Amino acid sequence: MQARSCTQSSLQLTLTGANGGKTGRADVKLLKVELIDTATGKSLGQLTPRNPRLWADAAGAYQVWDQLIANGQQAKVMFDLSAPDWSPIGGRWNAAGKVFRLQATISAGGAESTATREVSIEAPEVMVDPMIET
Amino acid sequence: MQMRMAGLLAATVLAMASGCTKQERGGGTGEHPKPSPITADTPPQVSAVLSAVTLADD
Repeated sequence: MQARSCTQSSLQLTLTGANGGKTGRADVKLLKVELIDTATGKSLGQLTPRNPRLWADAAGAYQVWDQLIANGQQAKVMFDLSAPDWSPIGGRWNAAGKVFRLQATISAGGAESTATREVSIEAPEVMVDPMIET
Repeated sequence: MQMRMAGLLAATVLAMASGCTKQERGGGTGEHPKPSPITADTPPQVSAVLSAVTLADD
């Protein structure tokens, strides 16, 4: 039997710092990540972010990020997320084919903002034995 | 005496009128807060775009 693949929930943000001083840095915090069913508008709860990483072009990989943004800097960052709780809609199978909205609340330099993105959920991969009589 | 009184009255009216004008001017220009200057260590304003999302199966 084939081992089931495990997908890590995650989000990627593109952050841009502007209108600051030459040596000024903004402290960036991902305060809240919420999953919302777009059909009903109901929340499926919050996902906990962890392991902030910054994309380093030179290394071609994500590296540990101190969560600071400089003026004029564009940063591609990534957070791992805790797995969604699909029970409010009756489980993962019922999520297939639906569209959800992920809403991230970010604090940067003391100012809060919200970034959202819609996500389509595909049917989970299932291994079915072929109906061949042996 | 009458001339002196008339002169005093005229001066008072003139002072009131000019005071009123000053107040109008002052109200228009004197009370705006100055924008805070950007110093070297002023933190930048940060805009965020959610560029990708992956959701686990369970």
